[in-house]
Amino acid sequence: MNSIDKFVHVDRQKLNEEFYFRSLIEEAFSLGMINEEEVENIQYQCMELLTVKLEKLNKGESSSVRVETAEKIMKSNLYTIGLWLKSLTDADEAIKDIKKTRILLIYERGRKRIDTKLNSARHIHMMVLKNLLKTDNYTYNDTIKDGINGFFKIYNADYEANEIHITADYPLSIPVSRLAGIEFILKYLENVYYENMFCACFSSYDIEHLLFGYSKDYKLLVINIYEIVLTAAIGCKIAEKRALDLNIMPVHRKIIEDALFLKSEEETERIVIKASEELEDELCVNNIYLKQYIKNSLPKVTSSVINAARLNTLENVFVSKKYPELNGKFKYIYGIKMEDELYRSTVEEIIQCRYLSDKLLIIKSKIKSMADMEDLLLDAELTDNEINAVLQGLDAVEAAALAKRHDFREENECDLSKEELKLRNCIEKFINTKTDDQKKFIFKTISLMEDE
Amino acid sequence: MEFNLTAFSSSIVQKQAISEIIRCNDFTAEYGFVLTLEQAAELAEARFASLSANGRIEFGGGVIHKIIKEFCDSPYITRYNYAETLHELLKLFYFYKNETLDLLSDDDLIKFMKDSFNNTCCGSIELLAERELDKMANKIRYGYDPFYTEHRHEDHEEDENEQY
Repeated sequence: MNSIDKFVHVDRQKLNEEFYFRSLIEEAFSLGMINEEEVENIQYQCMELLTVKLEKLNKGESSSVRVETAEKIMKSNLYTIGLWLKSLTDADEAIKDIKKTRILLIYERGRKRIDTKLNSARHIHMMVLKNLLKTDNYTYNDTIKDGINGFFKIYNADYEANEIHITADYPLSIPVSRLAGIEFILKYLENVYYENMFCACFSSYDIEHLLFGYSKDYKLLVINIYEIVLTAAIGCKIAEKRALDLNIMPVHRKIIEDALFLKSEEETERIVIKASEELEDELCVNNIYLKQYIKNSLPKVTSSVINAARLNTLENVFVSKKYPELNGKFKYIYGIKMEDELYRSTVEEIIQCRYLSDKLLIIKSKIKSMADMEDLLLDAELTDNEINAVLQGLDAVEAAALAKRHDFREENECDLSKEELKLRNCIEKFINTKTDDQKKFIFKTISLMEDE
Repeated sequence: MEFNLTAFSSSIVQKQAISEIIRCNDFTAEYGFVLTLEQAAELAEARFASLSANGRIEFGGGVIHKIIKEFCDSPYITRYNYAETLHELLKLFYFYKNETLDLLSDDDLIKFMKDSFNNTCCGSIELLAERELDKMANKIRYGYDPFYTEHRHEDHEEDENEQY
């Protein structure tokens, strides 16, 4: 009877994705798949490879390097070797490959694989840029556009293959962990691509308003946009309304609250899953990878919903849209200035006039913009009474616009010309003659005007 | 399993270094310098100690044979101070590899050491270390040519002034 060989194999799950080669050798050694002599041989070959790489780096001009440099290159080499070994069918196959192939050759195969992955990453980045969200969120734009471009510029596959050199600050719903170098960037871009694909189902205006509802400082926050959109869309489906407009009103939140009332964690989870399925139907999500991505994102959404239901803070999870244009600042347009020649002749004409009524008549007929009006008040050598008479002809918003530029509440008088000081004083006197309500309106208007 | 660089360099590379030093005897015998196996081992050990002290790593025989070949014809080296001088030169070499931020190649650094040792330092290791190499490393760190001198700079300025 034939003897039965003990079958041992390396468990892929036990291996470290970031330091794959090293963990593979360690695991194989502990299982007795390779002996000490073979391990030493592998180590020796790795050192040989390091020597070759260092010679290339120094161009043969220096026989020694700093230990940190050597260690950095060694890590890069091991990463590249690991990259090739990962591409084999399984870890046992990888061990066989290490035994029969020279490390230098495996490294070269890994190096080619990095090039292939680099090309794939460039392609995905191009697709991501095509599908980029129109948002003012700084981290999103900075990471996805400039950060990744920076990576492609500085990535050094020969000596720092395991480094990314950039900080991928924009957080993903499913963070990339246990990967390094080009593998990290590739996975990161893949995830961003699916998140963008999902967000592209909604209008960018709705997303912006939703983010504004989330926080008025959303532009500066380090947040994952996809997650906020997905949660709001799921909220819409739980509230049994269409999700496309991402519009959750207090009444919808009440429906959600009722739906989640006294529900166990498992029941809440089922409600969220059902809502996500309905959402996929409504948005016609057919891409299986996107479906999988949404599915993988659900546990995070579910736990935040469970917590919010328990703490009665659903308004923080299912946020309502807010419209910055309704309560935000506005920009006052001072208008286009007239031609210099015409302006000079108008000022001259006003200076020549003896009576205030004539001056006012000219101003009324020839001055068409607040920009010209402001210049005129400074250049036309008007007296305090005349300036006051001109100001009387302005409406409250125009007066506020003028007061915004010549704010008498500021104290830097030393920088002002004589005319500017005069105008400032006149505006102050003019506003002081108004009633309290009118004054309040003018000051409110000034505060809402955007700085130029 | 460890890919410990320093441990690796201490075993195989050490033997390689000793054999390279011994091989240099063929060349230096002409000048009356011959190192014994014991002296060669000491030199290889000194090299390893200098590398560790300066946080550097070297594969193969390294630069010992280059230093030996370059300095064996120095008028300031005798058979009595030969081994000792090599020890000192080796230490200085690795120290100033770091101090020059690896911007100078091995050959250039050895050549500079030899020229200074034989000329301005008159065979003094102290002067070589404290004055010549230190000055040169400073120049490199400030972005000047290692052979740049202030005299040359002043001359150049004078020339420019004369033009005006």
